[in-house]
Amino acid sequence: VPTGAPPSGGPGGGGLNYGSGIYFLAFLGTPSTTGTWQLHFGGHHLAVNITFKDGKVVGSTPFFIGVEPSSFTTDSVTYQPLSIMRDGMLKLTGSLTTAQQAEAKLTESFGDVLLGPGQDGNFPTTKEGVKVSELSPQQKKLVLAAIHPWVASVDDATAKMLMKSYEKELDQTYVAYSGGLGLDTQGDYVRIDGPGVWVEFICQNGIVFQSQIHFHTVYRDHTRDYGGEFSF
Amino acid sequence: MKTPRISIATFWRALAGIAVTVPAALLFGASPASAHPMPHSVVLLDVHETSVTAQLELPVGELGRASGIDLSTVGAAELPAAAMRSYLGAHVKATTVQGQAWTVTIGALSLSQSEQTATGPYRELVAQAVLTPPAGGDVRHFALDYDVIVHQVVTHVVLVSVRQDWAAGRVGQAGSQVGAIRIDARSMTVPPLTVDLGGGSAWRGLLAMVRLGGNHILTGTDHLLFLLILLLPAPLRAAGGRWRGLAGARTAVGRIGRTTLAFTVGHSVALALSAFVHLAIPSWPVEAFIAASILVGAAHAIRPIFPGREAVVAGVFGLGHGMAFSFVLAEMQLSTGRLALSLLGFNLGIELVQTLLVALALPVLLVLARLRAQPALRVGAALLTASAATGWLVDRLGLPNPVARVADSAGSHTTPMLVGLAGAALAAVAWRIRTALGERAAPAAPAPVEREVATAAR
Repeated sequence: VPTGAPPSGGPGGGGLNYGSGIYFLAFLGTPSTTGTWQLHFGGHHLAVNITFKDGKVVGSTPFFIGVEPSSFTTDSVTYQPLSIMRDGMLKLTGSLTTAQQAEAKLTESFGDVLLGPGQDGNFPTTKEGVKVSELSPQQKKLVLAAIHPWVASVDDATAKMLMKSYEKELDQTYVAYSGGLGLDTQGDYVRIDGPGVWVEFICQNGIVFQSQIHFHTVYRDHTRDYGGEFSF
Repeated sequence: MKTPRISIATFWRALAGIAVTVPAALLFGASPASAHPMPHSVVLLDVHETSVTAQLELPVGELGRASGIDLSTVGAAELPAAAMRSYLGAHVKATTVQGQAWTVTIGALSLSQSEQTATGPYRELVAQAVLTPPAGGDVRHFALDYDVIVHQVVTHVVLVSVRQDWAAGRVGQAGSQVGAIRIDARSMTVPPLTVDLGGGSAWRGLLAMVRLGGNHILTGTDHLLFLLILLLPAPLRAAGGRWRGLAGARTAVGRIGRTTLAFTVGHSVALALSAFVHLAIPSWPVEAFIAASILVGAAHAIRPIFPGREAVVAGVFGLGHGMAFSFVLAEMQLSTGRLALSLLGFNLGIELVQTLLVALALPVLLVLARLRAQPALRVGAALLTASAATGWLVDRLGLPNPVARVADSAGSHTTPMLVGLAGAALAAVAWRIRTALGERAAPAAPAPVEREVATAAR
């Protein structure tokens, strides 16, 4: 059972390349219905970490997901895998009044998510943005709806439990943004930061498709990352 | 209990991750997820005797967002230098360990194109800064209080490396990373980077220069090739505008010694002169002159052009090679005291390696001269050398070509080159011993090679 600092793993694989052949499944600890262990699945633009304790999910974060290009067509079907996340954020920020927008606007700029790899546990001490307690009941629902697509990546029961907890903490949760509100330009950034939940969504410049932006997002939980098994 | 900071191991793994992949290498132990990184800034430090110079390489996209000065489309002539210098000056600071401020001057600015691992190509601003501690201040231990770009683009990362540190023996090699400057997300502040370069000494600087000198001649195929092609016909006798017969081993060794010595004197004098006088000669004419010198040497190996005056030629052309050596030193911008030591060490390194290589070549040259295939081998080697020299000449006059590329790449295979030369030297010595024994056993019948030489001499 892992305790203390996270153990160092192997180099893994995937790196900077794309391809279904370079996504990896890994276990930390021994899968069992009694002990504590972690399932990792990831590759380019994806990192799923689910921590189990005594047969129950105790952590579904950190969860990193991104996509480039953000929209593509294969066999005349158009796919926009992260549009559900983007649309949720857009609905929320679109509902902000001018005064709320001013409060939510961050002075700093972003080129990527703040709490990417190597930033475990480094949640900013001071929360920034507009406090959800100042939002209307309708807007509060939009906050929950915006968080949901990330939370929903885990099994339904766990997701329901997490959403309930985040709902309870809504009044201590903040919504902040940087750049523009369109989520269509490099540097457009939205963050939801609560006592538990931490979601970041950023538009980054294109790498493979240099003329269009692409998305990076991360979902963390202040207390449940890696099932709370590690201290940072 | 929550520890206040991320563990050191995690931190370093994160640094490694930044260099190659930003969002994910580490998120998660076993199999790091990955995504393409945003370009980071690079700061390269050159540690001098009383100051530190820093080269800042700043991606213009992030720089524009942080400074409000958009350089993405401006030409070099329209670069708003004053505004940029004032922005950089406000964000590049250094303090002594005791907290006293250093003086920072922002110098030359230029625009260039860059690409880091998987970032795709992007434009960058390259800025030079001079950081000077208060009088008597320690240039090896200080705090770099730097937040260019990072103060605004909070996800930006700055990798700081030492490129040149003479007193620590770091010259002419890849930079060594000192650390990374990035936001502390918890406090959303940018902590200063503690720079601790350890101890340094003149002795380490000198030794490093000996290594650099030896390495320079070993990998700089052109210098070596000039000397060797000049030595190739040393064991032969020139008569009637041709190389005919043997000049005798003693004469050959004497010629080789004189030619090598003259080359040494020539390049040492030029190296010392141009290093101290700070001659600002552009490198291409000097490099072209060197290529031409090899061509002359190759021609001489085919037909004697200046028989008996090889030493003079080696000395004169040696001057050109010495100037080329001085470019290495000039780039380092050393103080006068360090320059003198560097000159000594650098030249010592050159001579050591040159002596070793000539010593290895000597038996080979002597034996080659006695082989039946000598004329063919000599002319073949000379033609090969001449083609390399022509390739270099054309390249250095402004037309890059595959011949020059292949010739240059020979310098990167020093181990096989040395092993080959040593093997040939051993074989040559063995061959000499065998023929000497054979001659003693049958004194009446001249060895076939001797007969061949006698025929050629007739």
